[in-house]
Amino acid sequence: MLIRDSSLYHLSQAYVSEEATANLRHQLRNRIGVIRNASFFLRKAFEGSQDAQLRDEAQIHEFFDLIDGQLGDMTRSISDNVVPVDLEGMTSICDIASVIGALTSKLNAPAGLNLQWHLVPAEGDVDPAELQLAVLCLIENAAEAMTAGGDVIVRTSTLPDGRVSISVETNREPISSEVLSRAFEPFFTTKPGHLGLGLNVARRVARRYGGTMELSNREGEGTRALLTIRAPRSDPSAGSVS
Amino acid sequence: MSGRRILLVEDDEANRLLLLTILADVGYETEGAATLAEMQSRLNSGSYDLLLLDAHLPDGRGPDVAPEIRRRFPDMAIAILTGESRLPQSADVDAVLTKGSDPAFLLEEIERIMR
Repeated sequence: MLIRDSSLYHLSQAYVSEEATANLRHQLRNRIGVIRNASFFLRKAFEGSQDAQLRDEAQIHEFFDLIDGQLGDMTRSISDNVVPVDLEGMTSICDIASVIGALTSKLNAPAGLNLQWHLVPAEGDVDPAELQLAVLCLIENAAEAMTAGGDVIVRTSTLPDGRVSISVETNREPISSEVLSRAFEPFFTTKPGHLGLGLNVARRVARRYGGTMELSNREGEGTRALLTIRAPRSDPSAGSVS
Repeated sequence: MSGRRILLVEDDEANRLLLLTILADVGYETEGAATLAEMQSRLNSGSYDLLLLDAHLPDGRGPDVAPEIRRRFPDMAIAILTGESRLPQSADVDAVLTKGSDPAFLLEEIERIMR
């Protein structure tokens, strides 16, 4: 674990927990939807059957009612009890380089990991702790893939359109296309014992600030995780379009 | 319902199959897509009365592209399908439909927004 700041650690736990819960909610609703839709279709087929004995069989109708009732109860339970947690903090205009630079005092870099900071002042409208968490997720993701050590370079810059770019680059071996295609799949991980939600947390933060999150191989050598956030004072309703 | 065309964009294969079957069973003409890229391809080559758009797709989020789709196809109804219970409805969509809801209710809502 890289974090040595307790408030950042607890924030990371809260975000990972909410990301896991959100994904489980989504998956549960998908599965419930499949069963409920199948039951609906089959019930219509039975009710339209030419075979009167089958059509009027009370137990078949009872079982369809049972399926629908149980799934309806489960859907309501998810809505009522498995509710999203509001993690969004207060934002302010700040220097992104300073916000990310403050991470240096909150991290323990593992032996052999050469963590470098190339931070150019860039203005953003963010919750500093939330942005630090997103960048931390990217640094951790990089560090955990480099068990033999290596370079991890964190950069900030302002793009021509005013958006702020934050990149975490490595000199590790390239990521396979199969892994890259699944990198943002919730719970997908190449590291045993890990939840596989770090990139999803970083992407959630990027989207909150109207930005994007990408993972790619760099030309030549290494990888790049690139997080962008919208220009400060831009229209917050102009979210990113994938 | 006869003759009205629905494009369903849903990456979950089982969900997509069942929804397309249910919609076709009540008389809609249906087509399916599993990604936003496939959706764009179909929108560019066909016309639809309703776009049923999953909120979470492998290549992006349905609500993020809804404004652009609305601008390009102002006469097409748009509904978001979501597994989240609190997805807010924006002015760019006509309905937010929750997965796992009563299918009869989904069909009623679809009929309503296509009127």
